[in-house]
Amino acid sequence: MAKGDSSVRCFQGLLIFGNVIIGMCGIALTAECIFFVSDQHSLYPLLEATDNDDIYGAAWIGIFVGISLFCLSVLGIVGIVKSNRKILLVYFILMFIVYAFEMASSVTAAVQRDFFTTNLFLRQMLERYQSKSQSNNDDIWKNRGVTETWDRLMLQEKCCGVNGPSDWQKYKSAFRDENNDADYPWPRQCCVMDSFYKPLNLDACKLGVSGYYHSKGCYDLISGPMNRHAWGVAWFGFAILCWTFCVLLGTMFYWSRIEY
Amino acid sequence: DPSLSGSTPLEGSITSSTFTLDQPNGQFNSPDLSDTDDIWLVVAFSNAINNFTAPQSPQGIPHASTFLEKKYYMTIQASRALYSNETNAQDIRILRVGNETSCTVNTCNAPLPGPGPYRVKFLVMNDNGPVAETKWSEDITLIEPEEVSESRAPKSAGTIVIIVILSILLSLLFLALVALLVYTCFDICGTQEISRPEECVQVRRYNTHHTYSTPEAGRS
Repeated sequence: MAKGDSSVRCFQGLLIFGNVIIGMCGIALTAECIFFVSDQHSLYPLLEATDNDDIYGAAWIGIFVGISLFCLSVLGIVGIVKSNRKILLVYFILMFIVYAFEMASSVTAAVQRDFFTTNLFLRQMLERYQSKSQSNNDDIWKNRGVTETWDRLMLQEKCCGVNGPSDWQKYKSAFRDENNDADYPWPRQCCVMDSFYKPLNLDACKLGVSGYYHSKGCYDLISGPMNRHAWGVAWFGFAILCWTFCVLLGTMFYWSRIEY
Repeated sequence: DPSLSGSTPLEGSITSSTFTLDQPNGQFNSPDLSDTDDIWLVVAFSNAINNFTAPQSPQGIPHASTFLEKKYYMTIQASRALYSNETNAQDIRILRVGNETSCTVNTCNAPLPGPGPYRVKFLVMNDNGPVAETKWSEDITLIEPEEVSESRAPKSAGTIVIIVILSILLSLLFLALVALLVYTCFDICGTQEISRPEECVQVRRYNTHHTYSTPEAGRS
């Protein structure tokens, strides 16, 4: 054990401070990921249907990584205070494993976020909204999820389609297969409703008279929360990992100077 | 002559099976026409407008059911009173061609069968035959829905930064950990090798009686 030099004490203090920060960031990461997993905007069915829902996997990993970081930071502090080589060795090995998991979570969130384009959600909406295809149970489940989510989105947020109601005109869709064009140029949910959930004026809605239908697209309302979610997991994880790297290197250096 | 509803641009004025015209308000006030005359809308394919001859009697009126053979038909039967000039400013007065999806009579305003292009004109008839008509409109082409294209999403710069930097950090950490473990192992194994005796060395125990006995003697 070094002779109680002030510089050694200072170094110890620094490392303990580093570990405290890691612990607190671990708790923050857990809280952030729980918030994302709880899906306040109920947009999960849209992601599930795109088969690109790894962002939720990344958030789940983030929850457990955060708790582990907190516990390991406590272990690290104990090891540094006691200057015990064995404890610190265990700390290093476990930290490395947690580091690898968090890296996987951060990279996954960043990569998946790049998939979020208007085109992705447009294709999903056109293929699945009100689709009656019965090919397998998975399809039926996804179609139902997409249809319910879009219905709720269009009614509550007063929007229509991904880019606008003309999505239903410009592109072929399952909705068009089920409903004729003259009666349903776009879904009824795009119409302004009265308090009984009936269109205020059906003819005006079908014609596209402003004030009787929703003319703006829903893309911003979908991509906003999802982008924040993805960037939150990715960049916060990245920041934690950079800091943890420095603290680990410092602790390894400290470890190598401990005398038997 | 008829024109698409251009005065108030509406998002739904042209769809893939309907289109919307402005009502010809005030265009039939001429004294040659009477209030009982029927005003019909003639819809024809653009390349068949020369084939159109006005029917000489109400029985010869072509209907939507024969549209594909004859290449024209007449619909939206109205009278001069409906196209009067008294407007209520808030009303939007249009004619939507293709509006009726379920009707049983001959004079149906059924949805159009394809993207066209189409041309329309108005024809005034009474029981004796045609009385007056307008000129043909411009070409009206309906929307043809297409397949939505697949597009690859490019990787953004942020993603590449994250991947590169994290890979570097992880590999450095891995090397440091390996170095640590090797160092530990080397230390422990090294000391063990040195301390493990190759052969048994006899250490003779010397009985140092005489050294102990002297203080005894000294004390007594």
